[in-house]
Amino acid sequence: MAGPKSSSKPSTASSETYVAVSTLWKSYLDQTPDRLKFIDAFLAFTVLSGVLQFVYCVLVTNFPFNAFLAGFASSVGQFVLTASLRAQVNPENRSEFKEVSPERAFADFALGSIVLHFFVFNFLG
Amino acid sequence: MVWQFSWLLLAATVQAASLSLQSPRFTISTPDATQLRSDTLSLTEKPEPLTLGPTDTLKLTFQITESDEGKGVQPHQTFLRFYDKASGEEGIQPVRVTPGGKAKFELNMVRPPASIPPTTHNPLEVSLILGSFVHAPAQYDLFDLYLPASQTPAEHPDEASFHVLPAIKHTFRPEQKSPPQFVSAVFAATVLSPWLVLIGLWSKIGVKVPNLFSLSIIPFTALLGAFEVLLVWYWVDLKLGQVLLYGGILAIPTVFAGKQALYATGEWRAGRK
Amino acid sequence: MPAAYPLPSDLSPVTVANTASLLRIIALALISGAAIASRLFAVINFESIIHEFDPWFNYRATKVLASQGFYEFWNWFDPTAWYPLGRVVGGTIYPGLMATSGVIYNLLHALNLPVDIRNVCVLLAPGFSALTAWATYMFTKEMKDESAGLLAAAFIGIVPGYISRSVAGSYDNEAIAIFLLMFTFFAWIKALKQGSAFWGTITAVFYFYMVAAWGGYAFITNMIPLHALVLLLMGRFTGRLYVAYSSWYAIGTLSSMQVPFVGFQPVRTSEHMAALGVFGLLQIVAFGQLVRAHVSSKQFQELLLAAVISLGLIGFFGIVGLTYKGWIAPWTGRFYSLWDTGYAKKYIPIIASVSEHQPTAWPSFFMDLHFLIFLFPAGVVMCFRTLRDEHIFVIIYAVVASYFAGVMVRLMLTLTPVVCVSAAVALSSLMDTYLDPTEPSVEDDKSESSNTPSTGTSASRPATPATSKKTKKNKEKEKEKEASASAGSVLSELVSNVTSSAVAAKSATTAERGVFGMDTRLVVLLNSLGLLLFFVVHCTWVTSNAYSSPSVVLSSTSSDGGKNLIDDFREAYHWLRQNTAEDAVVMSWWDYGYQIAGMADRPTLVDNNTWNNTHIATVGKAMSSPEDIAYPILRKHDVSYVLIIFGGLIGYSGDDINKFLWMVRIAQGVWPDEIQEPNYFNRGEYRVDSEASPAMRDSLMYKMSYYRFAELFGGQQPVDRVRGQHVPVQGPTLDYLEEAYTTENWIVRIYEVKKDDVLGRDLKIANAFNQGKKRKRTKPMSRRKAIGA
Repeated sequence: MAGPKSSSKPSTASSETYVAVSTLWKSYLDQTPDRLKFIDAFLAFTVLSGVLQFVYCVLVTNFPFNAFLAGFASSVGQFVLTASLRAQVNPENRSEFKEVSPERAFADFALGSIVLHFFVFNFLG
Repeated sequence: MVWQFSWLLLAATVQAASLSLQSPRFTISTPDATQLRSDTLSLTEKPEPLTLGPTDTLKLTFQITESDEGKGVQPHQTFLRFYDKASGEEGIQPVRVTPGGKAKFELNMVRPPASIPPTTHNPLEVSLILGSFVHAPAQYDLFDLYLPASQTPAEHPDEASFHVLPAIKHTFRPEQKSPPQFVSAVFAATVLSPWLVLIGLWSKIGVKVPNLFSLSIIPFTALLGAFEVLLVWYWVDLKLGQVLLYGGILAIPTVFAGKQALYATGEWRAGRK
Repeated sequence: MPAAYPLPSDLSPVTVANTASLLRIIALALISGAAIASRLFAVINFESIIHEFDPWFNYRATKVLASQGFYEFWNWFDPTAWYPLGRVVGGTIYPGLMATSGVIYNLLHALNLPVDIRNVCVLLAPGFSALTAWATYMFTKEMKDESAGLLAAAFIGIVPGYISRSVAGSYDNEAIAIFLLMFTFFAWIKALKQGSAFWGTITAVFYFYMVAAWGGYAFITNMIPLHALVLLLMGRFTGRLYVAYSSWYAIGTLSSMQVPFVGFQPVRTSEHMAALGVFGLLQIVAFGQLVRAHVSSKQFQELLLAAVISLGLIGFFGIVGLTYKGWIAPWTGRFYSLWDTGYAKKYIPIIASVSEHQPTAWPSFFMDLHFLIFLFPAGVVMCFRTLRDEHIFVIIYAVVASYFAGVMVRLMLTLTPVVCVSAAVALSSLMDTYLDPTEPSVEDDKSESSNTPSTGTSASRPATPATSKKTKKNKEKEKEKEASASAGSVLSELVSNVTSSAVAAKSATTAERGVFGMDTRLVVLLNSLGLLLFFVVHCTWVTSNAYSSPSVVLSSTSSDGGKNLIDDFREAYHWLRQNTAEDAVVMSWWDYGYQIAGMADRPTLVDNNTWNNTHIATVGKAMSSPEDIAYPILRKHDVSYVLIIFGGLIGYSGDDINKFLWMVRIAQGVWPDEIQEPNYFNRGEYRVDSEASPAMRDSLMYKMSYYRFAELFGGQQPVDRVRGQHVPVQGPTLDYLEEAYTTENWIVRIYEVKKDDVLGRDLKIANAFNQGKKRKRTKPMSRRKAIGA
C-alpha cells in the first residue's frame, strides 16, 4: 500500500534484484496518477513519524507510555485509514469497491479520522 | 446512689485509724539450720540487700497493728510483692495473718512457691502491701533480695504477633523520569521533521486543489477543522460530557455540508470523465 | 411455469415492496414486544428487584454514578469492600453497563420523567434484548435475507439460553453485552462486504463499547482476526478485507485502551496478540499486492513471496521472543482453563468453585436452545453451500462457540446467537423451498431458493393472502410473508394470519399437480409450524419456571398448589441494616459480599469480585477451623458478625455447607499445613451426621450451621433436608460466637463475635462459668524454672 516505501525494499547484492526494484520504481512513477501520489506522500509521512516515535521510545524512554501509545497509534491509525482511502479511490480497484464511491471513501476517511483523533486526545493524558 | 454515699462516708470516718507494722524481722538460714544472717527491719531505710543461696531459707516475721491503740489486727489482704525492676517480672505472694496480726512467711529456695518470678542477677524489690476495708491501705518497701538466677521465662505464644508493629512504610514504584530537556527537544524536532518531508513531496508532486475555496466545499473543510479544534480543546480543557455534546451539535451541520460538498465533487469528477 | 397455488398478480411491485417493509417493521416490533414481555415474568411473579449477586454490585455502582456524577464514579474508592484493604472500583470494573443506565437515567430525568434508578436497572436487560433481536435481524439479513433475519430475531428474542442472562432484574454485564456482540459482528460483516472504513469505524466504536461493558470482549478480539486469517489463508484477500480490518483494529485497539481496567493489555498480553499479528500480516500482504500490480516479473514475485513469508515469520518469532522476555504477559489462568477443563480445579479453585464455570451438561443444550440445536448444524451446512466471506464467519463462530459452550456453562451465552442465526437460515431455507409455488416441472426448488437471498429487497410481496390470482413471479413474497407470519406465530399473536394463509393454501389444493404437491408442502410446513409452536411453549415454560427467580427471594409451592415466598435473605440484610453499627464488619463467604454491601450497607471481608485469593482463603480458613483458631482471625479482621446460609431446615441446596468443601480447598491452597481436605471426609464420604469427621464437626461452619438446630425437633432426631442425613441430637456448642439473628426459615443465620471477656478470662472458660460448670481446680504453673533442674 505504501508506494514510496517500495524504494527501500531490501535489495540484495544481486544485480537482478536491483533491476527489478528499479523497474518497479519506474513503473510506479509512470502508472500512478497524481492524486494517488499525493496520498502516498502522506502515507510516507505517517510511516516516518511513526518510525521516529518508535525509535524515541526504544532509545530514550517510554515514560508517558500512554502518550507514546497515543502518538504511535495515531500514526498507525492515520496510515491505515489513508491506505484504505487510497485503495478505495484507486481506479484499478473500482471492481472491488462497488458500493464505495471516492466521495463516500473520503467521508469515511473523515469520520474515521475524527473518531481516531478523539481517542488519541483522550489517551494523551 | 444513697447507698454509695453512705459507704463513702463510712470509709472517710474510719480512715483516721491506719495500719502500722511492728517488729518486722528476717532470718536467713541454711538447710542445716545455721543462721547466716538475722536482723530487724527498719521501715524507713532498706538494709543491705539480702542474698539467698539455692538451698537457703528466708524467714520473715512481723505483726500488724492499729496505729492508734497498738492492738493487733488482721487486714483483709496481705501480700508480698517481688518485683524485678530490670526485667519487669513480678510475683505476688499472699501471706497468712493471724487474727492477732501476727504473720510469718517462709521462702525455701529448694521449693520456691509458684509466685516467685523468674530472676536474673538483678535483685528483686520486696515490698509488703496491706489492704483493708476499714483502714487506709499501706505499702512498705522491705528490702532487696538476690535470688539464684533461673532460666529466662518462656516466651508467650502470642508474643510473636502481639507487639507494636513498626509504622507501615509504603514503597512506591520509582517515579519514572522524563529525559533531559535537551534530548526531549531534539527528538521532538526529529519527530516533527516528517512534516518537511511531506511538504517537500507534495510540492514536488504539485497537486492542485482547484475547488478548495468554492462555496460548496469550504463549509465542509471548515467544519472538519472545527472538529479538530474541538478535540485539541478537549485535551487542553474540556470534560468528556461537554466534548460529546459539542461534537454531537457540530456533527449535524457537518453531515449536511459534507453531503453537499461531496455531491459537488462527485459531479465534477463525473463531468471531468 | 405451473404454480402449486394461486397468487395475486395485479399488484404493482412498489405496493408489494412497501407492504413487505411495513410487515417487517410490524413483525420486528412484535418480536421486540415479545422479547421484552417474556422477560417480565420475574417482575410479575416476584417484584421489581435486582437479582442474584453481581447485579447488586452493579446496582450499587450505578447508584453512585447517578447520584454523584461520572467523574466521582470514575475515582470511586470503596473502603467498605475487602475490609480492611478497600477496592478501587473505578479501575477494576467494566463501566459500560453503569454508564448506559446512567445515561438513560439522566435522559429520562431531562425529559421530566422521574424514574427511579432501580427501575432503570431492572428493565435495562429486557430493553436491550429487544435491541439484540434487531441486531440479530440485521446480522442474519446479511447472511441470507430478511425472512431469515426475522426468524433469527424471533429466536433470539425468546430463546432461553439468552433469557437466562437477561430477565428483568438481571442487571449484569451480559445484559447489554450480547447486543453489542451481535451489533459489532454485524458492523464487521457490513464493513467487510462493502470495504467501507465507515463501517469499520462503527465496528471499532461498538467494539469499544463492548470492551467497556464485558470481559468477554476478548471473544471479539480473537474472532475477527481469526476470520480475517482464514480468509487470507483461503486466498480471499481483497482490498475490502484490508480496509475493514485495518480501520477496525487501528481505532478499536486504541479505544479499548481507554478503559482503565483493560489498560495497556491490548499491547501487552498474549490474548490480544493474534489481532496484532493478523494486522501486521494484512499490511504485508496488501503491500505485496500493490507491488505485484506494478511488476509482473516472475523472479520478483518469487522474491516478494519469500519476503512476505520471512517477514511473517520474523513477526511471529518476535512476539514469541517478547513473551519470553516478559514484555508480553503470557496466557492467564482463566485462558488455560478454557483448554483444559481440569486446570482450574487444580490451580485456581476459586474459578472452579463458581458453578457457572463448570462444563456444560448435555441436557442443558436442549433446555436452553430446544429444537434450534437440531437446526443449528443444518444451518452451518447451508453456510457451506453459499460460501461467501460472511458465511465463513458464521462457520468459524459456530465451531469456536460450540467448543466454548461445552467447556463452560456460562459461555452458552455466546453460542446462543450463532445458533439462532444458523437455525433461522436453515428454517427459512426450508420454508423457501416448500412455500415456493413453482411446480418442479423443469428444475427443482433448491436451486431457486439458493439463488434468491441477495435479491430479497427487490422481491414483490402480496397485500393480503385472501386475494387469489395466479402469478409465477410471486414465489418470494409468499415465503417472506410466511416467514414473518411464522415469526409472528412465535409470538402467538399472529396465529390468525397463519391459519388464514393455511386456509388460502388449502383452497388451492385443487390445482395440485406434479411430484411436489400441496400435501407434501403441507406436511412439511405444518411440521415446522408445530415445532415452532412447541418451541414457544418450551421457551415460555422454561422462562417462567427456571430463569425468572431472583434468587434473593425464593418461592416454594405448597402441597395445595399455593405459592410461598421465602424472603429470608432480605429479612436478614434488613436486620443487619437496622440493628448493627454502621461500621460493623460482616464476614460471610464471598458469594454474599455484594448483597451484604448492597442491601445491608455493611463492610464485608470478601465479595464476588474475588481479586484477592489470600483474603478469600483467610475467610475459608476461619470457616473451616475450630473456634479457638478462628477467633483470633476474626478479631484481627475486626469482624463483628458472621453471616452464613443454612438450607437444612427447608431444603435450600445452595447453602454454605454444600459450598464448604470449596472453602476448605481454597484455604488449603494457601495454608496446606493447617487445612487439609481429606480431614473433612469420613472414609471418603462427605457427612454431616454423627459420622462426620472430627475436623468437620469442630469447624466453625458446621457449628454455626447446626447450632441449636436440634431444638427445633423437640428431642427427636433432627434431619438435614438438603443432605438427607440425621444430625446428632446433641448439637454443637459455641464459645466464641453467639447467635445474633436467625431468619424465619433458618436460611440466613447471623452470629455475633464476642468481645474479650471483661474479666480477662478465656471466652471458653467464661462460657463454662456462665453455664454453672465447676471449673477444675488447677494449681497455677510457676513461671520460674531453675537452671539445670
